[in-house]
Amino acid sequence: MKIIVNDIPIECTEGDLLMDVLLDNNIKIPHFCYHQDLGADGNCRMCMVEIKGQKRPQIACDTFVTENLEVSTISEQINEVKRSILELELLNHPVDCPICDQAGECKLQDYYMDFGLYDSHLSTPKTKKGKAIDLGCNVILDQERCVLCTRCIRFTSDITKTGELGIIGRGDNARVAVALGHELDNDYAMNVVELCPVGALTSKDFRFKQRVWFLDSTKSVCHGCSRGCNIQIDYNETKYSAEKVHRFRSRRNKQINQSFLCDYGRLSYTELNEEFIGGISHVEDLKELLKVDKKIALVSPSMSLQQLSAVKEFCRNNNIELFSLPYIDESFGDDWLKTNDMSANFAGVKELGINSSEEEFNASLENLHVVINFDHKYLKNKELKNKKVVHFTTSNIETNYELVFAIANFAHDSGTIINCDMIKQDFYTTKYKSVHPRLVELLEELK
Amino acid sequence: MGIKVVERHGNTFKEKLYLPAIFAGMKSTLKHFTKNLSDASNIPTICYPEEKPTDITPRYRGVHRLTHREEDDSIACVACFMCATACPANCIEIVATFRDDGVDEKMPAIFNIDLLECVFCGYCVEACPCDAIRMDSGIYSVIGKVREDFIYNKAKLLSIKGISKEEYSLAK
Ligand code: SF4
Ligand code: SF4
Ligand code: SF4
Ligand code: SF4
Ligand code: FES
Repeated sequence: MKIIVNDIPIECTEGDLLMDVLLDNNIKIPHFCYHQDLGADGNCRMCMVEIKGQKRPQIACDTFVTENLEVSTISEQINEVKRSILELELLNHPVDCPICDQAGECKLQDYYMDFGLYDSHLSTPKTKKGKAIDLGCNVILDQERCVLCTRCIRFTSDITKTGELGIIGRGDNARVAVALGHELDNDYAMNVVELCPVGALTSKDFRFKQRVWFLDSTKSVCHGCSRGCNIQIDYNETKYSAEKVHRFRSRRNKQINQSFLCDYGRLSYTELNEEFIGGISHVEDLKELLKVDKKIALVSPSMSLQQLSAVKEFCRNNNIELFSLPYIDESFGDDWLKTNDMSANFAGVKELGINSSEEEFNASLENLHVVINFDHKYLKNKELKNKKVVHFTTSNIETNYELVFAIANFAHDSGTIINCDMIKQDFYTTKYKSVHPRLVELLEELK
Repeated sequence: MGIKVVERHGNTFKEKLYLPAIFAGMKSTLKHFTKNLSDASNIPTICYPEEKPTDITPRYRGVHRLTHREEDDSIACVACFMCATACPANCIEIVATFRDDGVDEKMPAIFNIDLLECVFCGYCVEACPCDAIRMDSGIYSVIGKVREDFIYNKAKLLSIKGISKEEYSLAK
C-alpha cells in the first residue's frame, strides 16, 4: 500500500499511524505530545497536516493511513497553522534559554526556527508559575517552561503505573504538579526528563554541568544488569579536563527497552569516570609470576565476548583454571526492565562454556597460589592469605594486590554482549582514547 | 605537499613587470627615512609606559569585565556558556553552579579568562545574551610577572569598572 506525502509516494502498511510513517521516513513533523512509546494524546496540535479531501487540517498522530492518502506537511497554509499553534504554546513561556538545560536540544527552539520567527503579540505580563521545584528522584520541574504535553504524566500513569504527576489548574494557570504531600518516587523516574520535549523537567544530576552542544555521543549498551538497555554515552573532553562521561541517554530499541532506562542504569555512568590512577605493574613481572604451577583466574561476567574469549585463550595457554561467577542481587529485579542478574554478559559466559560454579571456585582457590582477577567484584572482601593476586581493573580500587593492570572500561572498548533474552548487541568506543590499554591488547602482549 | 599555482595579477605590461611597484614603495620609505633623519624631533613617539597615549578611542576593546545587576549588585552572568562557545581562542573557562540567593537559578562558580590566549576579538561580548561581559574597561595594558597573573578570574573581572557610563548590565 502507498500514500503520497508532499507529492512523493511512500510505502506503508494498512492501519499504520500516519505519524509513525512520517517519522520512520524522516519527514519533519513537529510534535510535542506524541511519543512512539507513549502513544498519542492529541493535545498539542503541533502535528497538523493537510489531507486532500478534508476541509480542515488534521493531526497526524491520530490519523491512520488509507490507500492513496494525499498528505502535505509543507504547504504555506499548514506552516501558518503550525506557526499560530507555536505562538500560543510560547505565549507564557519564559524563554530563559540561557539558564535552561534543554537549550540546544529543545523542540521549542527547533520549531521556532523552523516555523516561528514572529514578534510577540502579548501585551499583558506573562503568567508566572513555579520555578525549580524539586520533585524528588533527581527531577526538577519548571512549570513555566512546560507545554502541557502530558508525556511525563502518561509515563507515570501508563508505564510505571505510579501516577505521581498530574495537571492542576485551567487555562493560563494549568501546570504539572505532584499530588500534595507526595513526591516523584519510582525506580524509573528520570525517564520523564528525557521524555519532556522542553526544559520543564531537568535532571538534578546533569543540571548545569555541561551545555549539550559540547557533548559527543556514542552508541552503547548499559552494563548495569543483564537486560542490556540501549544507550547513548554523552561525554566530552575540555581544554582543562580529561574526558568525562556526563550522562547516559536511552537509545530506542523496540525489542528491549523501547525508549526507557531505569534510574540505576542511567546513573551508573559515574563508574566510567573512575579510571585507575595508581602505579601500574609491568608485563614482565606477570610473565615471571605465571611460571608458578598452581594458578586460578576469575573473570567478570560483564566483559564482552571478545574479552572473555581472549581471557579464555590466555588461561588455556598458561594452564590456568578459569571461572566466572554471576552477580546476583535478588532485590534488584522487577517485572519490567531490571533483572536480578546484575552482569551484562552472563549469557556470554555460558556460551563460551566458562565454569561458573561458586563451590568449585572456592574449592580450587584453597590450594592455588596465584589468583588472576579480571575485574571481578567477588574477591573484594575475601581473605586471600598466602596468595599472589594479580588484578586487571577498570576502576580505581584500593589494593594491596601483588600486581595491578589498569585496563580500558567499556566506554573505551568495543565489543559484543548477550542479554538475558539471548539478544546479541554491539557497543562502541568513544572518540577519545583511554590512557589504559584494552584488555585484549594487553593479553596479546602477554603471549 | 601540493604546489599551489597563484594567478599573476595585473593587466598592463608595467604591472606584470612588478619591479616598478617595488621601487615606488622604496621611494616612499626612503622619503620618510631622510625626513626623519634630518629632523628627529618631529617623529610621533611617546615614552610608554610613563607617558600614556592620548589617541585611544573610547570604543577600544580593553580588558574584559563582568557586569553587575542593578537591583542588588550581584553578578549578571548566568553561566550560559555563550561567550565560551563563541570564543575562537577557547580561552574562557566556566563552571556553572546553582544559585540559592533567590536572584536567579544559575551562575558561574568559576569564570576565568586567559588573557594570554585571548585575541581580543570581542565575540564573547557579542554572544552574551545578558550583557554580562563587556570590553569597555579602557584597560589596554596588562602587566604580570608570571603566566598566572594573566588569568583573570571571576572576582577580578567583577572588580573592574567600565569607562562607559553603563555600570550595570542592561539586559532585561
Ligand atoms: S524549554 Fe528551555 S531551551 Fe526550550 S525554549 Fe524554553 S527556556 Fe528555551
Ligand atoms: S513537564 Fe514536560 S513532559 Fe510534562 S507535560 Fe510539561 S512539557 Fe510535557
Ligand atoms: S575577546 Fe575573543 S578571544 Fe578574547 S575571550 Fe572574548 S571571544 Fe575569546
Ligand atoms: S558572560 Fe554572558 S555569555 Fe558568558 S556565560 Fe555569562 S551570561 Fe553567558
Ligand atoms: S503530536 Fe499530535 S497532537 Fe501532539
